[in-house]
Parts: sequence; C-alpha cells; structure tokens
Amino acid sequence: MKKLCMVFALVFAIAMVIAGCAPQAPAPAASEAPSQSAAASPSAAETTPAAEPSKAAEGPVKVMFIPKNQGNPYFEALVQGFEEAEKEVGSDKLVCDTTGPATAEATSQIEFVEAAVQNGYNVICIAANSNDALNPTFDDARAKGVKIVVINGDIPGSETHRDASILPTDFNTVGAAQIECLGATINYEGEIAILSATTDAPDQNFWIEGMKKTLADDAKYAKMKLVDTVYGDDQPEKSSTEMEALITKHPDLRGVIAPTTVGVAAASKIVQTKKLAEKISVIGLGLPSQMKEFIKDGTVKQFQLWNPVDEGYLGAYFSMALAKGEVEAKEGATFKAGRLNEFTIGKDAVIITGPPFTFDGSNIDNFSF
Amino acid sequence: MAKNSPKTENKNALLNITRQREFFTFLLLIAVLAVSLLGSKNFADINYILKATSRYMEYAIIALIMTFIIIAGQIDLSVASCMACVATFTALMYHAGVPMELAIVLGLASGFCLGLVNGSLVAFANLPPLIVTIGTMALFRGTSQIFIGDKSLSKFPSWFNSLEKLPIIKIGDTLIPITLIFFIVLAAGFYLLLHRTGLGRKIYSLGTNKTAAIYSGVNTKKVTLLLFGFSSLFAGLAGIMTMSRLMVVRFDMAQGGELEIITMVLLGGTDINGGKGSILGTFIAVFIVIILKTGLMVANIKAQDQMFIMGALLLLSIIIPNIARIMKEKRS
Repeated sequence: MKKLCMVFALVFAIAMVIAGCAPQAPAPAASEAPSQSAAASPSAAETTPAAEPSKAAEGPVKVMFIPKNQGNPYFEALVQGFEEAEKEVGSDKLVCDTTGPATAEATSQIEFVEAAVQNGYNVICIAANSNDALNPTFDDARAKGVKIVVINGDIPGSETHRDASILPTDFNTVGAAQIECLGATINYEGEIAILSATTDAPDQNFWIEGMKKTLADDAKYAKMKLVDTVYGDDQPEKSSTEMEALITKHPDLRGVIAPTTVGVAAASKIVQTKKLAEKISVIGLGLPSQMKEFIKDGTVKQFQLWNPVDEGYLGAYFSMALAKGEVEAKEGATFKAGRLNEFTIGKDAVIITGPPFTFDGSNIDNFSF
Repeated sequence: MAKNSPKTENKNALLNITRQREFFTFLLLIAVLAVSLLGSKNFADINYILKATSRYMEYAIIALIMTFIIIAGQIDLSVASCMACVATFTALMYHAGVPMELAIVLGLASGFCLGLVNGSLVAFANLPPLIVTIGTMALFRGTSQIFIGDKSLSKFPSWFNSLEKLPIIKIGDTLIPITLIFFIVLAAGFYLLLHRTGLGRKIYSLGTNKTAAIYSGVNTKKVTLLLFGFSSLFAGLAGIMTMSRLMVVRFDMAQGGELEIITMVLLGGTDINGGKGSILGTFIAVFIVIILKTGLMVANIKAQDQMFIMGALLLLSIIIPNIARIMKEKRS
C-alpha cells in the first residue's frame, strides 16, 4: 500500500510542478485562435512572444526550415538560400532557423513541427517526409496561426493541409530533360538503364514515368532502349552494388540515368574505378560539390539539377511576404523575391523556382553546394 | 519492532523510500524537468507538455507490459512491428467493409495471436526470446509492407480520428489527453497485478530462477505464453492509437520504437537480466523520456545530440545505482 501511496504522491508532485509553470506562458487558447489582424490584443503584451504568433507584426518574421533529415548536403544548400535572404533583408525583419530529424521517417518530423509552433515561429517551411502522416500536425499548427509552406516537393492528396508549396523546378519537365541530357552524350542510341532511389520514392517514380513517356513518344529517342530500372535506396553502398550488377548484367549498356544525388555519385564512382567512362555515360540529378571530381576527370560529361540555393532564398522571401499578409497563398497572386524578381503563384498554391539546370565542365566551378 | 515510536517509524519509512531504486529514478525526473525548464522558456507550457505526452503514450502502455516481460527474464523486440502489423490489419478490414468497431476488436485479436506465435516459440520450442522476436520483428513489419507497400491507408471514420483530443477531461482551457488518463489507469492496474497478485509473484520467480519456479509449481510455459500474447495485444492497441492520432497507417509506423520502449523500462530500474523491477519505476521513466525529449526539442538541440543525451542518460541510470550498491556492499 505504501508504494501505491507513493505513486499517487509522485503523480501529484509532478502535476504540481508542471502546473506551477503554466501561468507563466499560457498558450493561445483554442477559442481565440489568432486572426492575423489581432496583432496587439491587450493580452499579447503580458504573454511571452513565443506563444503568440500574432505578435509577429512587430518583431521579425520567424521562419523555421525543417529538412527531411539532417546532414544532407542538398538541404544544406537550401539553408544557404534561407541565410542569404536573411542577410539581405536584415535580421530585424526576418529570422531563418533550421532543425530536423536524424532520419527521414514518415513521422519523424512531427515533434519538430510542434516544437517550432511552441517556439513561436510564424512560418514553417518543411520538406515533408510523408504525403499524409503529418496532416493532423499541420492542421494543429495552422489552427494556431502558423503558416505551413511545403518546400522541395508537394504533398499530393493533402494540399488542403498546407498553405502553399514551393517546388525547385517544374517536375513535369524533369523526365524529358534527363533523357535529352543522356541522349546528347551517347548520340541518341544504345541500351540505357535507370538507377533510382527507393522503389516507392514518389518524386523519382514520377520522373521515371516521364522518362519512359519521352522515350516512347519522341522519335528522336527511338534508338535508345531502356533495359533495366534498379533501386539503390539512396544508400551509397547499395547504389554501388546495384550499379555494378547493371554493368555485369547488361554488357552492351551505354548509359545510366540516376535521378538521385546519392545514386549518381555512386554510379559515377563505379564508372571511374572501373575506367568505363568511354563506354558508359552516367548522367542524373547530382550535387555540383559531389560531382565536381567526376566532371573534372571526364568520367561524367554533364548532369542536371535545379538550384536549391535559389529555392531556399525564394522560400524565405515568400514566407516573409505570407506572414506579413503581403501575399495570399492563392493562384494568380504575385510577390517579389529579391534578386529572383517576381513570382506568380500557380494552381493549388504551387510556386516553381526555375527550370532544370545542366552542369558541365564550363560552369561547375561557379557552384559551391 | 512493533513498539517503535511513531517518530522513528516515520523516519524509517522516509529512509526506506530514499533507498528504493524508484527514488533515484524520481530524482532523475526532477533533474530532467529542471534542465528542460532552464533550456527554453517556451517549455513551461502545460498545454504543450500535455500535447507532447499523447505522442508517447503509445510506447508508454507497451512499456508497462514490457516491464513484466523483462522482469520475467524475457524480451520482446517485435512490439513496434506488431503495432504496424495490427494497425495494417485493422485498416485493411475497415476498407474491406468491416465496421470500425469490429475491425478494432478483430485487430486486437490478431495482435494477441501474433503474440502467441512469439510465446509458443519461446515457451514450447525453448528458443531464446531475443532471437525469436528479432525474427518476428522483421516478419511482422514485412507482413505489413506486403499488404500496403509504401502507400498509406487513411480515410477512417471521423469519430476514430484523433481520439486523444476528445475533450472529456478539461480544466479551464487545458485539455488532458484521454490517452494519458488511460495510461495512468492502466499503470495502476499493472501495478496491482505485478505487486499484489500471485501472477506477479510468478513473474518475479520466473525471472529470478526459472528452474526454481518450475519446481515450486509455476506453470512457466503458460505464464510465458500469456506474457507474449498480452505484449502483442497491447502493442496492437498502441498501433490502433497511433493510427487514430496520425489518421494514417503506414508499414513503417513506429519504426525503431522497440528500443525507445525498452529504454523506458530500463531507465525505470528494471534489470535486463530479470527478477528485478517495478511498474512505478517504468511509470516515472516514461515521464523522464517525455520531459527530456520535449525539452530538448523545444530548446532546439540537434537530433544527433538528442540521441547522445538519451544514450548517456540510460547508461548513467544503470551505472549510478550499481555504484551505490557496490559501495554499500564493500562497507558492510
């Protein structure tokens, strides 16, 4: 019985300690869900700035960028863009921070979104790990007046749960652009293969579909034959193994498209070590920093990507305009994004950063991400 | 002894409490709470903390049954996979036209059956539980992936979504998540079961010395089988709770959750070798994990550093009480 009493004593003690904290920082009550205009309600002065999103109008706009996972150079390039915008506008007007999970699991970002809301960020830019598992979290955040901007890929089927979406490029054009990029290096003929990320990666699968459609529909590519599609799960070791298997399985292979940064680097490395550059052309979507050595030694002639720095930069400017109410997340609305000039919001509140960009020996030195 | 004055009795009781393993766990909780409060001014918000608890209650209820299992000298690594598997079955049944209420009952039943698979392999085939449940860990998650691939199952009835937000108990504007209440009630039940019944004594004896338990007439096979059955049953329940909270089911639901659950149990002072442990310890440890994780999160500590801190905390929580014990033994 003594132990049971102790349980209750402990529960009570914890409850008291936690309850004791409560009056210091009341969160906005659900009933008075902050309307954007209620900037200076009398209570706002007493509460901590963090718990009152509506105080934003006075201080800087606070933007939190949550990547799919940390330690991913691609997302570090986006952070670079956010920081560039912050420096340009001045941190008295715009503050950009970043935080994210260690692994890119479907639900690993939930607590980061909740913490960002609790810390009083006005806009959360998130490269979502799931198309739908974050929906309830997004809804809660938006009920508290926080704007949710999905960046670097939309959440198909869940568009109503976010305010806007920023895409790095028009994904409809990526498949065709990749085929052209490869075709140009192999004289538009021969056996080709695809080395992708995971079997279920939505972006990669969408691009692969676009590639297949381009190969089938455009007579220019009639002599290019897709013989295999393999998946390296975005892990360097697995991608290398899959690439080696491709080379063994298809002795007449002329070209490989790896529409993922991990895959294209791994494939290039294999071609480099096996000295197959003359025979097999690797292209794909890669990071200039990772691909520089392969471009320099001629292993890879060209590859593509969009500009993630621009994307982050755009994300920061758009977030600021959105939080200040200068732009509405609606089709047809326009806003200015610093050096990138004016953008028009497209259907379903989607904003496209720019066209795919081809990197080769002539321009690779201009990029540091 | 019975003629002690009330004052010394009180003093003795107090000393006894400080000597208990749970007291150390409780001190850890206070320390973690203090660190979190110092870490960020935005942490001290009862609504935020309560909301955060609902995210961990699924693991917390499994931690209760896991405490039984570890005290009995067993381990069940398949629980998180079982969450995903049962949630998958439940969602599939619902989408096949079974009413949600029935689908939940059938889902839980399927969970119990999955547990019986674990239990019979351990109890009747005499296989080590570590190996059996490593196998079923992959098997259960694999089953889920076979059925739904990388898709999500969603579109459940509206009464089912976000059950933890049901405004049943509300103090002012503060909503107490129903899952938290459920966990506290369940913990009380588990406490009585472990510390007040014959079954509880059997579980302890199983973990202390299995041979002795057999000779003293404990049906160890039956107890083991039931433990694993209920472990998966509660894991299934947790899976359905997760399903309600996220409004989707995916095969990778709660991936890696088994380690977080075991962390909670070990942090609470349960001995991984069996025979020692308590529900009170696990109960406090659950809140240590919640407070610490939420505190670190809101203080914007990097995910990698969070892992480091959790690992260090677990090690310390095992090492410090042992140092105290060894020193005491040396002195006497």
